[in-house]
Amino acid sequence: MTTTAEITLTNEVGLHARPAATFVRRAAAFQSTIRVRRDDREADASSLLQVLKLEAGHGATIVIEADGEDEEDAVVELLELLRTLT
Amino acid sequence: MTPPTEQIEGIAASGGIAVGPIVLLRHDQAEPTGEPRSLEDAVAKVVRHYAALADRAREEGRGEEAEVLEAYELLVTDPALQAAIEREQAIGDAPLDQAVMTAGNEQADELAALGDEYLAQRAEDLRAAVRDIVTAVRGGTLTVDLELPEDAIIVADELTPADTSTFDLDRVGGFAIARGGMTSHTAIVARSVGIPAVVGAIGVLEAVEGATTMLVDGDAGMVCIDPDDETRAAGEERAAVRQARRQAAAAWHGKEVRFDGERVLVAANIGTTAQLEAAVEGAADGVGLFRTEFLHLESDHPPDRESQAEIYREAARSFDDPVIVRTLDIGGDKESRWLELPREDNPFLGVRGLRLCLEQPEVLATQFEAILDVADGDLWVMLPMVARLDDVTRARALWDERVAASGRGPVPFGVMVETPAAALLARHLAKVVDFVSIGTNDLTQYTAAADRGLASLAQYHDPVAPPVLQLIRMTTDAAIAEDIHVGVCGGAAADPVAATLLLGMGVRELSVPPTEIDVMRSLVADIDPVAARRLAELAVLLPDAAAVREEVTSAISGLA
Repeated sequence: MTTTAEITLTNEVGLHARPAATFVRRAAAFQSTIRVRRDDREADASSLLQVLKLEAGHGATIVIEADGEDEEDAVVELLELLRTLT
Repeated sequence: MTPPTEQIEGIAASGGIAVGPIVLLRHDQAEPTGEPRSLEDAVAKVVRHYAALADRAREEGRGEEAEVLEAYELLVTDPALQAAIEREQAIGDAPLDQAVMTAGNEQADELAALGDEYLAQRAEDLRAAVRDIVTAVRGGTLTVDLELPEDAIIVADELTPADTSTFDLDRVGGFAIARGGMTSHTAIVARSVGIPAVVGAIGVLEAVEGATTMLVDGDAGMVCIDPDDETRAAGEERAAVRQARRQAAAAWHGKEVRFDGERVLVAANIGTTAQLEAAVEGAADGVGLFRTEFLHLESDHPPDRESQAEIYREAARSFDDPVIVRTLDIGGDKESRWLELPREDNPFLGVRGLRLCLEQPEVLATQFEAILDVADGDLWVMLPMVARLDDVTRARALWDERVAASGRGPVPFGVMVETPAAALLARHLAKVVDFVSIGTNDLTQYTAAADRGLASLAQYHDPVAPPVLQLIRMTTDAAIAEDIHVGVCGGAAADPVAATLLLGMGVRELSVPPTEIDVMRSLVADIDPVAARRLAELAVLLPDAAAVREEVTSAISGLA
């Protein structure tokens, strides 16, 4: 099983700069394997390099997909984090 | 006979002058090798190193630097980097340090290839972090404390936060950096702690070979290697003059200044409420440029009339002199959270500023209404990015309608002159507005067709270049002919040489950063009007900016 959710980034810089580092740190703390997709690009959520290469700026829509024991918690928490990023 | 002193030009990234012993930081030199380490041990060592540096930066109040160092921790442990190193090792039987270097550079290249300035900077961070892993793999030690002589001049290709955290900034006299621009890490750190810096000094690393001392002139954007006694003395004198000027200028705090008997406003440029406080503290003669983009960048819906009026009111009440509110200058390079703007190939030449407001008149109308709601103080309104007379007449019609509806008497309505077209149209513009303010930063970039964000084009960014001066002169002449107020709100207003010429051309308001108010007041008070007018006549005829600076500084002592 996997848990998937889609979100449009509304914060000023999107998954860039400080928000990207915050996101990666949080994602790495879960047991589940977490991936982020934007259009045809895909990233390991625990890799800052890959997440930056998504170039998911303000207004981009991304899909978060988690697979593992805490997959639901992971998706819920990461969505919450992305919503509250400034 | 001693060889001539070698000078290298770069970008003036942080003001001031320093002379001191050269300390060369080389990233590419082979590290002394100790017992080689495994990748895992090496990475762990580097992570501890960054964590310690981040702690120290935070303790010393350099929070931004600490954050960057924490991002470095993420980079060295990045799974994508680890995987790339493993792949590299599996392909051939390259030694571990080689594999790390190749894999790291490959990842950095990929990041840089995306063509985004921010990501290019992160690619540089990654290269720096990879160098540290290589050092650790080879058994080398990571510098924690670099012993610096007093007033050290740090010479390097480029500095990373990891570098600037390894030495005591109190012992640094200046920076001479081969790469980077105004927004590079070194430039930001140097300005924040007030250390003179020249960046983009191409060739400085090669030039310092065998040299011992260096003069860094962070005002002129020049370094001088092994300066002879004369150059050194001249540099020290300029530093002393600068210092003395700051001290003497303090006497002008809050006082009115005159040029040839006419009052000159030394106003502040502000763009946030925090800067409003700084302007009040600096006892500015009002605000020459109140940028209102922050109202739109901070929220995800358009700011309403009441909240805008509240902010304008606070500013207007803070001064007896005029507070000039510039209407929304968004679009292109400045993004808004709530306006969905199409991507443009040339944002500086795109639908920005007034052009955008005319496409979305309700945004402009709300801002006009908010300005007219403020009865306190002396609030003026100013339009950005004018290039056609029609731009102004359309906006003026909307303004006049709102003024009539408000029942208020006339409120001064003006435009910025920041495109060559506006300057060339000044005769016509001056008939339909109540004042003009020259935005020299954009005017310079548009005149030379040189993106002001590009460090490599720094020589095109001087506002005293004769083509720019001619456009300014057309504007001031038109303003004088129509007897309307003319100010300057670009960087030239705080540049002593440029300001001298501006005063000579008839400018009667210099709007400057709050920290420069007193210095500019003392300049206005001291300048000889006859000399300034003569220089203004002459400057437009000279061939280039260097000749203009030479002419002005040799005619008026203490300006350079």
